[in-house]
Amino acid sequence: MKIGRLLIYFFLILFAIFYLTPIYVLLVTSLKSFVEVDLKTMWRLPKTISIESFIQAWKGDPKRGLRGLSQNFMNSVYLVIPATILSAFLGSMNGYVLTKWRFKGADIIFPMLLFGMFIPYQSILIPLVQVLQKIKLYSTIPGLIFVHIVYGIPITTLIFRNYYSTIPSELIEAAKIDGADFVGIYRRIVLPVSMPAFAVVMIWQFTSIWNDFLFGLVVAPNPSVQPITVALNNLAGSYFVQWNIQMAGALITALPPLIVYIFLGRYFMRGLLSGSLSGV
Amino acid sequence: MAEVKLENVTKKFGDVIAVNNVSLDIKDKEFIVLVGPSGCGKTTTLRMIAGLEEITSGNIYIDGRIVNDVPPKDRDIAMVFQNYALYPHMTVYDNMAFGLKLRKYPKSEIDRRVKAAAEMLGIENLLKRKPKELSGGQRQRVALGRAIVREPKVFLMDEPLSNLDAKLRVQMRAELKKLQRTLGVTTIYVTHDQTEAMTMGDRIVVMKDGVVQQVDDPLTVYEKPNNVFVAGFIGSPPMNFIDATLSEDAKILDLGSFKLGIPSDMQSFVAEHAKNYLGKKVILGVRPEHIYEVALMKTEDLIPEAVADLKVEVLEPMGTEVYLYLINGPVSVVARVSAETRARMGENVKVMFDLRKMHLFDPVTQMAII
Repeated sequence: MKIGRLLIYFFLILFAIFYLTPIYVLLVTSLKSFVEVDLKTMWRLPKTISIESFIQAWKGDPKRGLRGLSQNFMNSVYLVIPATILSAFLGSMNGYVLTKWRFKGADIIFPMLLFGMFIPYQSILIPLVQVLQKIKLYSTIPGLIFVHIVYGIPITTLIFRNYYSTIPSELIEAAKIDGADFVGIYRRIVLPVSMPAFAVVMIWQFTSIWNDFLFGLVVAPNPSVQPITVALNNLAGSYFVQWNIQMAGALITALPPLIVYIFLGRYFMRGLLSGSLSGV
Repeated sequence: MAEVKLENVTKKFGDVIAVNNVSLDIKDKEFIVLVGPSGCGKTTTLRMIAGLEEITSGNIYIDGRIVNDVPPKDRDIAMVFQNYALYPHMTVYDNMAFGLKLRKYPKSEIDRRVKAAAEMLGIENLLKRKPKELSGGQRQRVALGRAIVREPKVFLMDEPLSNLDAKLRVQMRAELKKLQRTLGVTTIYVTHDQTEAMTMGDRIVVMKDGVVQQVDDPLTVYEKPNNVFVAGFIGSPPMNFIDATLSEDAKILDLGSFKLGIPSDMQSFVAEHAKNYLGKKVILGVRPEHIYEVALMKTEDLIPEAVADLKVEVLEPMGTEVYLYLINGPVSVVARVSAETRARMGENVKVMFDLRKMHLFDPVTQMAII
């Protein structure tokens, strides 16, 4: 028994190290100066710790034509916050209607909404760009927000629908008898008990919108509106890559979702479980 | 404070008829109990009165007004749910005040009503708590309070006591009844528990398969059940049913393995009321308390023709009384006798069937003959 335990820990630690090695390389390289970066010494710790590469990745270097990530970081912030909030609310309202105000055809609408999850994004890029051009949102942050909201609807609807199906319908009926209407029940009863689901959905949406590359690349060709993931890719020069700056940029890019998971991860788990275990 | 009237109310879910042509006249201030096994349509009936379920056909009147298409909030009703359905994010006070707030009552009036109801229910000290901090009994009271503060015309209660433990249920049963008397609000109460129905209702509506079987006050339902279903559903342990043949002269009931003589002063009554069944098969219904142990009887009460010898299969002591499960050939009955019984498991015991209190049912239609 004791041996078994030890073996489990041994393998768990082994795999953890295996998975963390790229992060290690990312971290040590970003703290090195450019001259120190070399394939032969990539596993070594930096001789002197320098945050110069972070500053360069953030601010850029106009002399060498290096665009910093600061503006794109803010682009991503302006993109991710409204897109996350709006898609969460849309999912919540969809879930509310699909579970508590069931209408004829609800059983067809819901699978159709879910179907949206299974369409590969690559297949709809051309019509997507055409539509955005028509409605004058192409290559704008609002355009990107719009795209992410639309593509967030299936998953947010699914999560909220599953969560709301655990809310006893008597609660809704009691509110109906008490005199609340469609909107009143949502605002006064359903919304206040939705926080666990909102936590799950918003963490999920924040992460996937922040990490998105494809839509950012295709919908926002103009560097001034590009999200940080696309700008990170462009940080690499055409002829050679300044690995220390590239790695620093990657760390900056990965930081917000990382922070979200570290600080809100337990709400994520709790939210995922709350539906199945406790209900309301 | 209103009468409720159901007129040929029917509810279909697709092809399934949940409630079939139900008509009821519920008087002002009456406490009426809808009772029946699960799936009998009692809850659906209640939900139609509440407006939570649409009516397929028929009419529902509250206080003389047709409410078929009136939404629940405008029917002036309040409902208590089986799982209480308290709003989990609101305090007890807010739970009770919610309906009044939505109806834009002045703050002082809301406060007065909530405090009065809380006092009536003994939950004044819980007003600031959330539902999850309350015990089952306390939640039950809050759910009642939420209904009371509205001062509605009708209370609708859907098995409000079934989530409580047995002891609390008995206590709340009496309290609820007292409360209804004090408030004088017409109450429609749904339960599957025949004891609740018997003890609480001014009148009982027994339902089965969406059809009303009998509407009467509790004692009438108990003493004069309309049919085999009602006779078997109301009363615990349930009435014994025995296949029997009534003799041509209305003097003897042949139970197969033994015969019982009908008391001489009953014979003309039976001959008259069961004249179509003379010489034919009937179902004999005898309540367990109407089977007496001969050893415990006074001799002057004894009617020797109605005595039979049965074997005690099981003996269940209940404290003040004992249930004897008796068997003789195809006949198997339960008798409820005093704790002084001398019957022993596996031995035979002489019992007398009190045929003055017997019921006879038609074996085909299952309707009551006597």
